[in-house]
Amino acid sequence: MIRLLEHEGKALLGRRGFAIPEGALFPGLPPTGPWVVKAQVPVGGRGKAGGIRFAATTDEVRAAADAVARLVIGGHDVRAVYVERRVPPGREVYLAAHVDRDLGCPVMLACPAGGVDIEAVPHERIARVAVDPLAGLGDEDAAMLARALSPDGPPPPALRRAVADLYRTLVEEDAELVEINPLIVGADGTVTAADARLILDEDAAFRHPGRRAIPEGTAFEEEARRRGVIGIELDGDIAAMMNGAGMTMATLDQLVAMGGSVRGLVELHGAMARGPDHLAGVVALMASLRPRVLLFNIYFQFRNLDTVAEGIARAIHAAGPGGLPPVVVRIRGVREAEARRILEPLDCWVTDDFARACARAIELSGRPVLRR
Amino acid sequence: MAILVDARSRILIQGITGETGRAYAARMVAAGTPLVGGTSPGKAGQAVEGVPVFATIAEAVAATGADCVLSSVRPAAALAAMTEVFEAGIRVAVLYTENVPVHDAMRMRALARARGACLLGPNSAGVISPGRANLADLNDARVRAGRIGVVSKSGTLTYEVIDGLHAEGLGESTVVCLGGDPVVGTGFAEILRLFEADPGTDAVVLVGEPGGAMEHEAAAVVRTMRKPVVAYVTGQRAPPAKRMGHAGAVSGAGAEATTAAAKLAALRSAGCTGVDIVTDVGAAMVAALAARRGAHAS
Repeated sequence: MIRLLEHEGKALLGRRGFAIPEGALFPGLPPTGPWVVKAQVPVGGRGKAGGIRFAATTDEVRAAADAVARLVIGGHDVRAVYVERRVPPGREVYLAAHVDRDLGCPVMLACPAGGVDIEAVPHERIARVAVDPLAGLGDEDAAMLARALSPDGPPPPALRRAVADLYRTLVEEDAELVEINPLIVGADGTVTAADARLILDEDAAFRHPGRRAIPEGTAFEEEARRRGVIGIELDGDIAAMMNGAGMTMATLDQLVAMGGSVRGLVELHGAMARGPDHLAGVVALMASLRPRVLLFNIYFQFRNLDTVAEGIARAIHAAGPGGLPPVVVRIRGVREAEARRILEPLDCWVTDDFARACARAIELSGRPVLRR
Repeated sequence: MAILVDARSRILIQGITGETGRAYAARMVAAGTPLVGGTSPGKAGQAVEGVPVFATIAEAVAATGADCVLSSVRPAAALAAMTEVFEAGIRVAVLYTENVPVHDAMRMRALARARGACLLGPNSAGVISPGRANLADLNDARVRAGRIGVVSKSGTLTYEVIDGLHAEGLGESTVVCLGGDPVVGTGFAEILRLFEADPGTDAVVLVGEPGGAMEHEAAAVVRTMRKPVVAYVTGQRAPPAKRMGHAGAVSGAGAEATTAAAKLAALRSAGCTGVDIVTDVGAAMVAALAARRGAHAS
């Protein structure tokens, strides 16, 4: 999932033929005002947080940019400040296209009340069209959506074009969401994208040269990603490594339900194939979170457990005596006996039972075990 | 009895000469799964594990009468591969491939539905009817034929569920992994209906996860079922908006109904026995079966 900043999203919409306001990243600015100064963060709610300010003079632009750059919005530092020429007032409408995971197809959304939080708009005011991904958006559906955005008269041709272009943008850019809120419909029939929220599909990067994920996680999560595993940082006691997404979430549930707390999670993903030294590096990364306990919950039905065991063993050796927090290993499956032989001489606790491993990890973290 | 695949299935591996394809072929033949062939462009006429290799799925179907496909092609080739599969009239397809673009997933899902076929995946660990047919990333030695249906988004978590059933002396009719991606071909609701209609299945374990509404659709089906359903939804304690491994498992902040807790509550109120931790599934199933027997006796 790649969340574009507003200015990146607008540049993309501009390439797709949408009219966008003239703009520049501060300290650049469009030659003539009035201006809007906008915080660039990958989340909504900027207006309420003071991240959008108006300016009539270049001095006001500088003052506003300075104030906006210092904001933290929805937990995100402001990454850049974008300065735009203010769009002449017009009717503000909402137009979006997104991938609806439950319907399994693209859905178009149109609402004549734009410029506000769409979640707050009554459901019946939003026109929705589910699109057959094999057929694409039909002319009649596109016309219906344009009419929904123009309740007081026939929609201008530019608005009808915007509806069709938005669907094409969603599909051809392999986007999960393209949202324009507000889209400003001028009295002269022009249509301008005054904001843009886009989420692109990272998995489609092979069709879009240069498409790259934007780092969004903590330093630990980004380092995990570089090492080919999935890392999740939390604020509890136990750092745990699992194979498989379901097992990762299930282990978190189990630890918390039994009275423990989790400092971090690592899902091995494909990293097994990179061998024990690579795995030892991932173990060291887990230890860098300074957890009270390291837990490994690994069940392999095809891969070899001794590879993981060797990785853990190398991490224990590399850290030296007392260099790692207490280690609890649950191993089950292929080459379990071989893996045990590697681990048992070392300073760690080994079992083949999921719940017992969790109980032991919680005990070692210094908390009472609430259920067994 | 079982659902989707059984001993009469005629199975192909798409991409049988690749590393994953060969590994699956070896497993299937060793376990007696009815593998009848495979495809690999440019390798027609060869054999892998004693089964013939064809250039296309259509040729393989014509020669072998195949009706099921396991595919592990690369992500960029997945849509074309599934198009070929469904156009050849295949009934059940497992797409094991991960990292398939979501727009491709939507198209292949629409194709499967238009043809009345069942697509599991993308990113599905497959389907297995123990002792009959195995198109799954599950080891034949670690499943046991029985009368409990299992349906899960996750593959690895089914290992744990199955072990829990075995500890109680139970076994599986069919284990179905839907796939961990946000858009997959088949949902819980369709599989629950198949299990309800299957004379070889007495009860079902459903394993859901955060994100989307699939478990809510499942809850609506559970209300119509006579067979007991034990449900666990992973990520009960997952922080909102953290991606938890599966691309599909993001319970976005503000979307209350998509959290694991909301889904488990919905499944419980529909009549499921809900459990908070996966290691409780086995005991909960025993209790659910006993309660059903009690209800029948009275």
